Amino acid sequence: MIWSKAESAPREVIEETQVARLRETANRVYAINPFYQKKFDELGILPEDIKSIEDVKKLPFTKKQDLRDHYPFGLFCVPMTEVVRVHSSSGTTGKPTVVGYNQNDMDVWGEVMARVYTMSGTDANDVVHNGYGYGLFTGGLGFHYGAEHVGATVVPASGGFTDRQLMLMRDFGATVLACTPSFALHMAEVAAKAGSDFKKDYKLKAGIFGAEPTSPGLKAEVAKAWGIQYHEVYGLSEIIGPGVSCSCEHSELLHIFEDHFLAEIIDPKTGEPVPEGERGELVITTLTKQALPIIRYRTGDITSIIKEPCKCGRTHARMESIVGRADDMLIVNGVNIYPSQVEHVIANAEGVTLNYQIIADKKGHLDKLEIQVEVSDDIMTDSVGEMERIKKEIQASLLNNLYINANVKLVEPRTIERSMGKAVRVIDKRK
Amino acid sequence: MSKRVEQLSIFLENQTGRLHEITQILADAKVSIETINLVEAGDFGILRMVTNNAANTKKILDEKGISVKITPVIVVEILDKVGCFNRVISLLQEIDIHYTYTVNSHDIGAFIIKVAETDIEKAIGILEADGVMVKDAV
Repeated sequence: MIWSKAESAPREVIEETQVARLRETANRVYAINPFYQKKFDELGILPEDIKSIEDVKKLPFTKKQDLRDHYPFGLFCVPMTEVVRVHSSSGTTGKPTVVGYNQNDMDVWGEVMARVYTMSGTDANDVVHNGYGYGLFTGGLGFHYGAEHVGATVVPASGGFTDRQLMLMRDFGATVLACTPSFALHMAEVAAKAGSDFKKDYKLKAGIFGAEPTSPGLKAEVAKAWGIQYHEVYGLSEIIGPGVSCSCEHSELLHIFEDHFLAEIIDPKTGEPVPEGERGELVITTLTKQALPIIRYRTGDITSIIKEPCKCGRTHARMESIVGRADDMLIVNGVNIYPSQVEHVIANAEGVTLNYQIIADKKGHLDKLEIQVEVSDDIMTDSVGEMERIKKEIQASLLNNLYINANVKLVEPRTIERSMGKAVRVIDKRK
Repeated sequence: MSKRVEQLSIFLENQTGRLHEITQILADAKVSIETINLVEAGDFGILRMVTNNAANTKKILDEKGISVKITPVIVVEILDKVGCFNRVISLLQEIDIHYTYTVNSHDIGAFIIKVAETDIEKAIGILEADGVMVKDAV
């Protein structure tokens, strides 16, 4: 089932809609908000210069810092009398970023989340167990109103209290689970204590998971643990919250709701677009938001986009699950590498822990890469040959999967420096 | 009395001063080192030791955040005479010896033999049947 006709519109219609809405959004921000006015003027661009979808390139980028600099409501483009809701980030690394919605925006959010639910096969017959946190975080309420929009029964469970959540899921006959993948896995582990056939007590058929970076391995594990179809949702509060894109039953790629969000992939270093299908930083412009329209928002997330239509009948372009963060990207002898990719290789290696550090340096004119990995306590072997084998296997796997020649150095447990409890993943000595 | 002597192995990065850190900890804790053997392989090495009390030594090192693996080995004593070492090794022809190194001692020759854990009882049996002195675990 497809919720909206817009999701399967021909490419020309999608782009016509995008151009018209982009011009409208540019007009709105330029006329109302001094921040955008100044940025447009600096680049010598006017909203009427937007004639084709490619013209989006002429517009200025917006960054997270811009939202912080205008804390709390400085980038809003409607009077506060019109704002019906605000959400905010936790702001652990500085001022929080605050986002606002008017009634139009709430309707847009309800619409895109209804598409997400429909993609997962959810309708009025379903009971949605919503384990996303309710509050300032957009996850809880975003999933809540979307489920109401398709007429499903929502159980607003929020986070925590695993045992009670499991009881509610059993007793209320939840058919759809919405929460973070790590919480879904945790719940499955707790539920499995009741016995290996625990699934007979639950009616779950699908899950809509997101809000955290997820490896393919984790996705498969969640789907298997609950025996359900896995749908991945992507979103960010600066754009709308959950509901920017979601995966259908036919592929792991996520359909972007292109009539509401214009997505571009750029080279994070140069800001220039990359060819279709190549990886780069995801940049999003909102096309229908009114309280907080955003022009070319640098998400910092690395992904790729393809426009090829999908078997499900949707024509909306699809993006990969996020592969990493632009801030963490390293270029080594011309190859782009994200720590998450290295982490994936290490996670599949035996005898080592996930505590690692990537050290980039120069040797003559060439870049050289060293990856230090802490050996695990329990596998600490007495054999030099065994340690050499572990090391060579990781090196071969890095070469086969990431096309990089790296020297893997096994280091003692607990020796990789951690700052504020968090490991420093990349040290670039070339800078 | 078990003949499985507990040997401690420590994974060490090849770093100036690292060995000293370990020996200092052991000296401070009054641990008596009976044998020591350091194998190096590029950027790391493995330090192998037999001490007067393996479990206690492991505890001391664990407290300092140093991971230790305990492996059972055989300690064989021989007379300091030509051909004695050869005799022991020839008895074990059928068994895969992982490595061997000597134990320092004033009056008698002694060395460590490491075989697979599944082979250890068999090896001890062969040696003792032939009158070779296999040392008891402490």
